[in-house]
Amino acid sequence: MSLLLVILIQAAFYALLGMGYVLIYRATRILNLAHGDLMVLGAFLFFQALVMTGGNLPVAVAVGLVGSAIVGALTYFGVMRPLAGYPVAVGVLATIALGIVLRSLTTFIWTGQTRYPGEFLGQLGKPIQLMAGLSISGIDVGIIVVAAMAMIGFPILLQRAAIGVEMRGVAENALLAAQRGINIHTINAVSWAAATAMAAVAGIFFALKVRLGPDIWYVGLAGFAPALIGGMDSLKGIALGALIVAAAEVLASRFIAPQIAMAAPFLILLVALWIRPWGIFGSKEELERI
Amino acid sequence: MSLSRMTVVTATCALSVLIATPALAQYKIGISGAATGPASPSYLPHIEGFRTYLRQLNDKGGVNGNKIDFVLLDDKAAPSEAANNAKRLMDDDSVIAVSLMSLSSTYAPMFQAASRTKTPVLLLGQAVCPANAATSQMNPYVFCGGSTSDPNTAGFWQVPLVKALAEKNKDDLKLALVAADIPVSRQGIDNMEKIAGQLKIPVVDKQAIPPAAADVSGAASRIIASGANYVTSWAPVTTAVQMLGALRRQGWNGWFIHNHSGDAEDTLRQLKDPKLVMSPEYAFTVEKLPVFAEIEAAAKKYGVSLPVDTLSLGWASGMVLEEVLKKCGSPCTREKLVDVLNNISVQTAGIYPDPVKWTKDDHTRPASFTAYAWDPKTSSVKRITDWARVSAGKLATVKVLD
Repeated sequence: MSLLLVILIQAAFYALLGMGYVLIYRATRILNLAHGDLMVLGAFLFFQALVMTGGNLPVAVAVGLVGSAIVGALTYFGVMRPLAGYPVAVGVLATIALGIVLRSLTTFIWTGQTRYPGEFLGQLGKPIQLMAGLSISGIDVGIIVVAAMAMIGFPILLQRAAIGVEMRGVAENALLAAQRGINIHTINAVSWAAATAMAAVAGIFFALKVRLGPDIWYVGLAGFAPALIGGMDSLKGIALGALIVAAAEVLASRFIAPQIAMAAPFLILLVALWIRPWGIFGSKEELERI
Repeated sequence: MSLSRMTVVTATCALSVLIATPALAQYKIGISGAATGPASPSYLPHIEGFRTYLRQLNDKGGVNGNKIDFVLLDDKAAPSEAANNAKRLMDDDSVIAVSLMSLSSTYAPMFQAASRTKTPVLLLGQAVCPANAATSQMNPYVFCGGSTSDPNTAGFWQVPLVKALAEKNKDDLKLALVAADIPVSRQGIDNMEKIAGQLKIPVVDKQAIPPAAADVSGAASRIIASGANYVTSWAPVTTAVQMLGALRRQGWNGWFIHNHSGDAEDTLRQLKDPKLVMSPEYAFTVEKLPVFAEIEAAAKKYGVSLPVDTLSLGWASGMVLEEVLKKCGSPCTREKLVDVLNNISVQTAGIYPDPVKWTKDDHTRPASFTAYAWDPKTSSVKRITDWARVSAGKLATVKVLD
């Protein structure tokens, strides 16, 4: 039972991470390899606000999310938009460069000191006893709840809201969408903003749960495997991809060795790529277009 | 006309003096360290502490009238980067010594280059001493001046410490061992397992965690399932804290005894977990040594915003280098420097309780250990054992303070 709970928490975290990859991929067909660094930046914005407000969690979260969304939109306009029309690989390489720049910037601003913002959580960070031998911390409850809200909320937004419909339109055929009067650059910027805000959500949770430092960018890469397994352009695929990856990691770690846990998701990814390279819920034609 | 001639004469004289004066002599020192990357939290503060010491030393006039020209290169804790750095520093920049502040996985290329170019390599900051440092197999150009004794020595303190704490708490001790999945760390817990066997301590689980693991909840659940009530780690602090967090979130309430790191005191202060114990080989700032005030003043002067306790090991490394260069004189060659290093003893104002002392046959640093934990009553970090001199092969005597 406790193992199932651990898998669920882990899957929720991976879903939050993977969602950022999917949102950007759907909109611009770019695999954003700066996702981990954007995650770190969002977490540091949150941390800075937390310190400056003396531990006001809601304000700090708002600063982290809004700040990240702005950074995401600016990234689109400043870095990605000028590369429109170039091969996709150029955009991907640009995200690698962006990641390195962001990493240096966060180290320059916040130094390499490891921070543990979890100390601001108080009782939220403490385990809650659910039943005999089964406990969960407040922060883990938060991860599950936020991931569930995002998994339900984003598809509804895409189906019902005007901006969501426009995002879908741009994702399906940008040229047609533009001809219909949709400002595709604004829509792409919104996608980047939303994805970067999601990266910040994951970064904030990781910082509160584990630690915060410029070095944690690699955690962001953990969302890559769930996104690929679920389908790079599929939000609903993320949930399943995240569950598969989390289960593989946790079970390998628990019953074999932690070293295997790191490899397990990627072994599954390899198998998934052989059988269904576009992911469980991904679109076949999109992959072929790449 | 005469004024013009005077000007020309003066200018010529001035030029002659300038040409005749030799360029300001310098000691060229290389620093290769994990300034970025997953291991950087453990090493970057020491690099900063070291740089800060050297900067203030240069501002005071340097050593023997020579400034220290330090070339800092980031190895990202990657062996390939370390190999590049070794080549650049030893071959291209012709430094007289390299200070290495990084993971043990970077040692091999650096040590090979040291042998080839006969350049001394000082393991400083938190760099772990190789297990063969006190044997004839030790690379003759490598000297251990870092805060972490070889994995064989550390276990002879840490396992008796666990036992002493369990006895004091009247706990039926069941021990789990945690390492980072890097060679020296694994060696550390292998050695601890043997020592635990000698002390008849049941080891119920043993794990090596990949340093880049995003989550260790599965590994933590295995420790909990094993029934361990004490966990001890010999690993980078990030691995230890990640495991401790995962254990606590799953409701585990046991003791976690970690070796240490350069930011061990800062970590205790931030986590405020009274059952997390750090067992360093150097003094925390709670000891209130005068040198900590010096470090604080220098950090302020040079705009270094890291806590003093994270800078102290780098500062001590600078003190060692200063003394070595002082003895080497001017000019100081690599060969002369090796001779000096093979016969030196340096006090570090109490940061290390024993002098950093090397001989031709022993390139380790004499090690004394203690333990600190967070005291919720005083809301401060507190030393919980006496200091104990420890050497490989001899079980330490641990006295837990009240």
